Amino acid sequence: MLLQSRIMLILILIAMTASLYLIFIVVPTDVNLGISQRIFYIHVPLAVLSLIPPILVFATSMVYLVKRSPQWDAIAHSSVEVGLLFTTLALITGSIWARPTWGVWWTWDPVLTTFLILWLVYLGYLLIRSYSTDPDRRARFSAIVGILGSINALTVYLASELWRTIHPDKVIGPTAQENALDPSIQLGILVSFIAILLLFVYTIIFRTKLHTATDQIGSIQTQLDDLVHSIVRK
Amino acid sequence: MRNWYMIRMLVSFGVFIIFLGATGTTDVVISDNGPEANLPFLFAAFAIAWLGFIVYAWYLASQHSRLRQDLANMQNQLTDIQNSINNQ
Amino acid sequence: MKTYLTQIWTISSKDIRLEIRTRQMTVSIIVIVIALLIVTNLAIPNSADTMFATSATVIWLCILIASFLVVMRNLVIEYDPIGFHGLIICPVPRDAIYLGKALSNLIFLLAIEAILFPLSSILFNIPLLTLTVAVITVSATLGIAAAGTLFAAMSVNTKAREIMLPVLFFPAVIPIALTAIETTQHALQTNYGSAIWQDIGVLLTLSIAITTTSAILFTFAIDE
Repeated sequence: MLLQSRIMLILILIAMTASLYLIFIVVPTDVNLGISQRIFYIHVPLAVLSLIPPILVFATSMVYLVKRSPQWDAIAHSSVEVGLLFTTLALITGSIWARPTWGVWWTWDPVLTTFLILWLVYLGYLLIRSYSTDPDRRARFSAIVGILGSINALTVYLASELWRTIHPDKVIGPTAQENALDPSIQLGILVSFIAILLLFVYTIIFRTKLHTATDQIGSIQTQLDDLVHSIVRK
Repeated sequence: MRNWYMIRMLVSFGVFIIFLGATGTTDVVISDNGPEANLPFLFAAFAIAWLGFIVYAWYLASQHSRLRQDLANMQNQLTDIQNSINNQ
Repeated sequence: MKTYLTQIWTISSKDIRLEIRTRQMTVSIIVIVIALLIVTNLAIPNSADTMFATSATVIWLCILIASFLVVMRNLVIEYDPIGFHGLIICPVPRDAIYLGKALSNLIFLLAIEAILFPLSSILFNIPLLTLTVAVITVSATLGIAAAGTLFAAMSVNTKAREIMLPVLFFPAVIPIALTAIETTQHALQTNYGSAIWQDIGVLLTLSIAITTTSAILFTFAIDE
């Protein structure tokens, strides 16, 4: 294993341990929501990070369409796969948090609905990859779906601004209210966010390398088969 | 391939059991029976998140081992080609 | 510029002329949409409080299904190896081909909506035939036709096009549809304020963004 990879994994381990300590030992229990409020510390980072793949896919897909270099397609595909994982987990953990808080597993709140749409867009991207047999067409179509799908992702943030929502008011980020959270809770969310961000980055890098290696091995295999056929013909 | 199918079935079953534990035996309470009333929900959320990461890591590992298998096959093919050229 | 617009109009007028002569697509889709309208009207309880919300939702659901059928049909009639390549090797820019097809899809959808809205107005007893609702409808239909044309062009070239088109199309148009439903609900209330024009502005911006992006991406979609 490469040194950078090992360093990354050690950092992830440290950050995860620190976040678990903060979540279960340090942060106070919410008076109204009880212990289930701690689900926030895993749900919020997952939800926020699942909005990064659309930006990555948008950029890398545009670069791919211009340069036609398979490396960019690999990054886009990896981002979508990891984005699908994070969106699925965000939806499930959000649903589990919602049950004791709102009394329902799901509600057609605009923010939740648009996260579900994002999940569908990721699925559509992976489906069109599986239905296309020609590698060039697969990459082109995926890039197109990625670009249009990431425009959809913008509506996730806009939805909470434009439409009435029962989703909690934003307490982190550029449009959050100041001093909305207790300092220990802020620290808990920050450390959880860093831990899951490191995991996110590592997973995307690893998946991209795997994708590139698979493509390279595929092309070498094709060349090898051609070589074998030419030798057999002789 | 069959192992992957078995793993998916086991994981789905595990998630189902967790959900049953969290919902079937617990009423929705908000601070009626103390701050630890919703502990099963907390457990379910963290368990499913960790399971999700582990399953994806398993999937990546299986892709990786398939790549290594392909590489080994290519190595064998190259050796055969080399031998056939030497024999000629 | 004039030549470019003429090229777009030539491509879309071909489709419109074909449809006027055969009347295959629009008549069948209008029948399907009316059937859907009747079924949903009977199935969903419609009280005075939820009337505007329910009717706006039902109408836009019908429009979504109609648009899926329109875009699919409009591209499939081009799809045979000679016909489709004949269109591509035309000495016109690719985005003109796209805009021509999207314009014909838009016109077909507006024709269907011209039947659907008066009918819904009668069935649901709601004030649908207003300028505000017309502006909302045209803005949303533009975006839906634009996205649908692009995805139909991609799906037509894949193995499982009947499955691929809905998988790609519906998630892409849901934000436009959601905004259109919300805005239509507000427009049906007689005391809507000037805030509705902000929502219409968002809808129009989204539609224009999707149309522009799709026009650029169409070149890559049929790049053979």
